[in-house]
Amino acid sequence: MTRLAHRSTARLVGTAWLVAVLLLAGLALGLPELVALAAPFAVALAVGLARSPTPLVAVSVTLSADRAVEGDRVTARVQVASPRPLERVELTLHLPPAVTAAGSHRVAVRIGPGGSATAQLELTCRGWGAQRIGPVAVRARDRLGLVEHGGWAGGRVWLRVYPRPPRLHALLQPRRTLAHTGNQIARQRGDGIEFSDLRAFVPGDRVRRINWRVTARRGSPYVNLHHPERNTDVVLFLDSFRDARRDREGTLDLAVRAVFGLAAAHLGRRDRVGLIGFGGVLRWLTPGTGLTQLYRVVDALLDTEVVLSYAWKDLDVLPRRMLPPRAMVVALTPLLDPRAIRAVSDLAARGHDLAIIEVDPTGFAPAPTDRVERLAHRLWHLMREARRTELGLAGVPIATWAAGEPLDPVLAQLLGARRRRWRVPA
Amino acid sequence: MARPGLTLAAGAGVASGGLLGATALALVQRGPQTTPLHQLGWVLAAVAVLGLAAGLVLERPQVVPVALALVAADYALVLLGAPRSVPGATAAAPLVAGALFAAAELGWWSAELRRGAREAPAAVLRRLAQIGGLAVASVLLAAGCILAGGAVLLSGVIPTAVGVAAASCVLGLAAWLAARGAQA
Repeated sequence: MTRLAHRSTARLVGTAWLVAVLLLAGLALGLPELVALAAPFAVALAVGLARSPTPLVAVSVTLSADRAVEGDRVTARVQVASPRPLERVELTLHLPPAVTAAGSHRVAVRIGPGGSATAQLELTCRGWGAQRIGPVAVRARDRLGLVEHGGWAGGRVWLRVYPRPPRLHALLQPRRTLAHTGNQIARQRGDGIEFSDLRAFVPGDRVRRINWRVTARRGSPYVNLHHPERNTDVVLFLDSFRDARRDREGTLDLAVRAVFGLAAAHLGRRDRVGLIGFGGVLRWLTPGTGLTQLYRVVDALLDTEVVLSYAWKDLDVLPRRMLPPRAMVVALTPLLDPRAIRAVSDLAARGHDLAIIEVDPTGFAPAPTDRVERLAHRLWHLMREARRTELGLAGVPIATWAAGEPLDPVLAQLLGARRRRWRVPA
Repeated sequence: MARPGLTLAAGAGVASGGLLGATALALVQRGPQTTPLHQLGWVLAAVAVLGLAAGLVLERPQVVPVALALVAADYALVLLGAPRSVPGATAAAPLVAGALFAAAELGWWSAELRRGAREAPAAVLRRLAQIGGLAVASVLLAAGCILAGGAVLLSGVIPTAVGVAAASCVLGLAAWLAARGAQA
């Protein structure tokens, strides 16, 4: 139970002043009629002050679900109980900016003789993250509204809002695969389904692999060769040093959604997925597979935020097992912070199979208004273009992803760039 | 996004202003026809209604007692201007008291609703019934006061001294509350 603090209202003070003025005017002017006008207000004042014990309330907040996806609706139930009736209790549920209530997050209820009342609020999850719902600001007043009691009550409940992942139809193909079975068609040849080539039969080949049509045409036995299905290590590198933001949307939101989508898609292909959150706070998740790993990735993403840091960080701070030698690294970065740019350059220099999705921050920058700003804007664009060219010359495929655009064309662009790079000139 | 309860708050505010304005208008029309007092009555009525409207729109509920005091001043002008032999002005006191109390309740309610809390329909009906009941009780209470004031037993020095003491106590209470800092 929470004991609410007593507060006089403007109504109480106003009524007291009115009664005093009317009584004094009645006396001074010799008009008992003014005293008659003051009488109802005076009686209300006396009754209101006499019957205003400090109430005790117990408030609890429960949610219809503790996990939701961006855009989902969740019902919050605020239950308030008091040992004695309260005419009007105003409950204001404290909400984070990424969660909004339909209509109002303030509800007025009446606690009758039963001792409790419940209010329901429809909440809409506007942004991802671990959202703290509560506490509740309580304002209770007596029947006449002269005295008010207020305070904070109720605990906090956590609502984990997962990002809504983009739909992906194609994924990046890794340069190298692992020895474990998966859904990736390996570049090597071996046992598999995908046809690769033909070669002459040699002793030891299985009879079932003989291609009878070719054998009949050539007059000697030929066998089919296949690409095996393997899995791969995918490390998602999320740059959280900087965030270009406008209103409720920012580059970090886009990047987190993309990482969630990529992780879900790669885990669905039986790949092992790891996560590196490279920013003011360093987070990592060693590569793993399965649904459990997806939940681990999502939980790690929910805590991602931009933490201001001036400390220089490079890849040396990462554990060695975080970057397996045959892993494909997909970096999502707005290319705003030199530490992140240096890190992706280092990854490329170390020979990792790297692809960069540049989350375009230019759409979040304010539009230039005068000549100087236009010039600065143009210079900034040129510098970004030069940075992209440098990375391209270093052998890193890079594609730009702007807000509001699907991710599939970006992945297709990276896929094409990577295939061109692997192609051996004749 | 429309704020819930805003329509209700506007309705309560309009009702409060309308009731106050109607009371003030009735008083001014019944008041003395001598030019300066008549004009002052009009000015007080206009200031009361406009001030109340502005206060409710700007979320300044402190103007409610000021508007009521101005209409009460209008009533005092009527009483001062009318000959004492005419009983009509005094007899209207309970109705004026009831109207002022109802106008005040509606004004405070409007200010409360402006905070944007979602109200249950049952609570609205209960509040309306409460305001109606309190207005009727005010009429009865004021009538009782008028009847008691007219009786011989309650005239003289002692009732006046009691009245001064009561007014002083209320004034002291108001000053103490104001010093503690009130919150809307």
